[in-house]
Amino acid sequence: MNTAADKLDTLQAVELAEGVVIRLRVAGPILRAGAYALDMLIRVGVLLVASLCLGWLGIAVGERLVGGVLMLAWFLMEWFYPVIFEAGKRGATPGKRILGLRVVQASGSPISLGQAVLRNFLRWIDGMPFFTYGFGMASCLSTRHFQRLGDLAAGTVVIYERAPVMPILPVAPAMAALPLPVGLSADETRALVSFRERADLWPAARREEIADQAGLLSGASGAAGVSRLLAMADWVREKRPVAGGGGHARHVRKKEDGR
Amino acid sequence: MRLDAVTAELRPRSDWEAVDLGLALVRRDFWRCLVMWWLALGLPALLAGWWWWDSPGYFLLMFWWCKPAGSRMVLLQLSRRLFGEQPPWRVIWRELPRVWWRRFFFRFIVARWSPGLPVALAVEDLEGLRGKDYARRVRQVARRGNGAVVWTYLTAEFSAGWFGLALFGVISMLVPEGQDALWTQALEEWGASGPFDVPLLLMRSIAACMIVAMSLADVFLTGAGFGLYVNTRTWIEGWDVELAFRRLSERLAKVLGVLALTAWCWLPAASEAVEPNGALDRAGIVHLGGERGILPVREESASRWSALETTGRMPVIHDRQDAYLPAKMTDLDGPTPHSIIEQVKAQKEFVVHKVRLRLPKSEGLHRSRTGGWFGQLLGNMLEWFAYGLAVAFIVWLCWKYRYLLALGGWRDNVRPQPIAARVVMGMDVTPQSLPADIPGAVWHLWQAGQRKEALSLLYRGAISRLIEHGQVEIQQADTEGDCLRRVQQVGTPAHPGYFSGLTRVWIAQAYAGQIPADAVVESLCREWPFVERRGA
Repeated sequence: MNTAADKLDTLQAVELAEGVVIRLRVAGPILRAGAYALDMLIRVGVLLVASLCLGWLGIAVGERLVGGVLMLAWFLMEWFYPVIFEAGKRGATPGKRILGLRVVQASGSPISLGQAVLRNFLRWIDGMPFFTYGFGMASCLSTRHFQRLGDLAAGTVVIYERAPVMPILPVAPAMAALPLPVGLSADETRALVSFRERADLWPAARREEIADQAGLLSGASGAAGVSRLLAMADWVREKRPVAGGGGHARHVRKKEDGR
Repeated sequence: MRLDAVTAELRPRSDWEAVDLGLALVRRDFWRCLVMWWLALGLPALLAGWWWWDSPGYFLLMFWWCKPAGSRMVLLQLSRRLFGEQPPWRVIWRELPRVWWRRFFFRFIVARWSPGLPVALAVEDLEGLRGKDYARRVRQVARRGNGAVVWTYLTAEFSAGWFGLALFGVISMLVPEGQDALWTQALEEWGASGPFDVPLLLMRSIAACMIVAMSLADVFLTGAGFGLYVNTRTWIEGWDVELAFRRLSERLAKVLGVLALTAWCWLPAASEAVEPNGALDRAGIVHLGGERGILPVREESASRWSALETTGRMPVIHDRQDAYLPAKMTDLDGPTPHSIIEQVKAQKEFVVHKVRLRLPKSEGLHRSRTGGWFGQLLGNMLEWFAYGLAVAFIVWLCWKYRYLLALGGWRDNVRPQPIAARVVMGMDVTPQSLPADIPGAVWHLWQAGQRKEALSLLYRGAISRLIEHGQVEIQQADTEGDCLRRVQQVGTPAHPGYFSGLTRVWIAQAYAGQIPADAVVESLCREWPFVERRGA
């Protein structure tokens, strides 16, 4: 049988210095490639506009000066566009922000300027061979945290910033709330609550099938088991004394995985 | 399928996280997946390469066309491994011909271009559905995450080509100097003949690079599709909840067992204690059951295939497939040298053919001289019209299926509208709870000697008005300092000057018990900046 540690997961647990374990929602290469493409569009757009404006200006101040300024702009865009945005408050280039991504340290804290520089200057290596990002892709797909070489060197990861939208489709509420007969762990309570919140996604037969798995808790099977479980979930959600009220009541973490 | 033996964490994920899970699944078994992919396509690729030795373009097209056979092998590996078993080689060998025959007409011809292929393949292979059932199921499964699957598909196809070219570039850099005469000659030829007229040697190398890149991209693409498929089923069938419930029951059964044991030891009435054990057995036996269609996957398809084998349909198709490629080759096998020589000779005729290609142009010129410029103009217009139609068609296609192209991030981007706080710092701030004329009421209370109530009403009223006018997003958990900060952020329309004075007075009263002078309160009432329905 597998223990939890062997199981493959997209959430990566990180233990902080305080002994707290957080789970990072590390983002994979495909959406990141999309963000890169968006950034590329933005950069090209800015440079085009700049060169048009400077072209007009060039009539007045001379072509050589304008050419130099353009080269400088191109250089800065190429090397410092991602650095500036990623070292900033939001930790993401505009493309990443649009797609809901963010660069953080492996510990989940915001990255420093040094890390942003390292991670983005190594883009050159990741882009090999011939700017195809072959190295970056290979590194990304072969490491557990989806890190390209720049990420590995700077100790950073890219994460999904926004929590996914979890549709809540509860069935009709139970007639009466039913106290839990035994104490449940946080994971178990969460499963009970999400049974209530997602019950309407499943057809009735499937609902009963799932409820039957917890027959020992509900003490009934079939439709009766479903309604008893829903009643218990109602009790957990609405009526349970918060934090230490009953002997077995434990605090339910409402939000499962933040960053 | 044994859900409790699952080797990846099942939880409802967002679409892109599901894609990532698929990629992680492939990473775990990467070499095995790649070998299995090539097991399906290696030999056919060799044969086809030999057959189309002189036209690598066709070879490449055919190879691309046949990719789903490799995807199916990868899918076999990933799906088995997800549920904790490593498919033995015996199973893999048996599967090899099936990846070609299984619904050959549908998969390789009708539905080959479908961008939902990575997910549809899982429905087809793992659930063994056909016909209408299959179509309905694919629609159901694709409802979640179809944007992600289309983008992943496009990315994979694009990067296959891209990496193929990169590989070609690397190889041409690594050709040792001094032995690259042929290579350089071919490159020069290419440079002279134009970008689309690639010399044979180069085209062969490009084809070789491309198929390597295609295999790599396809392995991961299949994994991503499988990840999305698993995620959809986790959502619509509640796999994660079921697993959690099962673990819960296991734990409770243990607890009950211990309880029962102690009860049996301590009490003479053992009959009561046996009952929970009975319940335990019942709960333990309840399984996810293939009969419900949760995973009619392997059991069913295996039995169907074995049925096919026993009815003898399988060998028939088998023969037909065997007769397909090699039969043509045997036709050519006899007169091989002659035919090849003839073909080489025939190449000169192709040169003539090129001249022929130019002929229509000169004909057109002749016509334009004789028939006039009008015909040419009409032809040009028709040509451009055709181009326009093609572009319009593509744009229309993109627009019609724009939901498929929506990147998941955009949808997540929609922030939930902040709900106006109803209670701030324990005070009810709904407009209904307040008098119509706040400053008037406050001054009335103040004069009546209810100092605390008066100031509380004033502060509460100010916050309520700030929320009501929609200028300041005050949250339930905000403190006085937070409110002030938010007001200052919003600026002039929220009257930060007035509010900071009010906050100072309110804090001094509420926390230090300092009652302000009458004049201060009066001025606060007089300067009340919010529009009131006075006289109402």
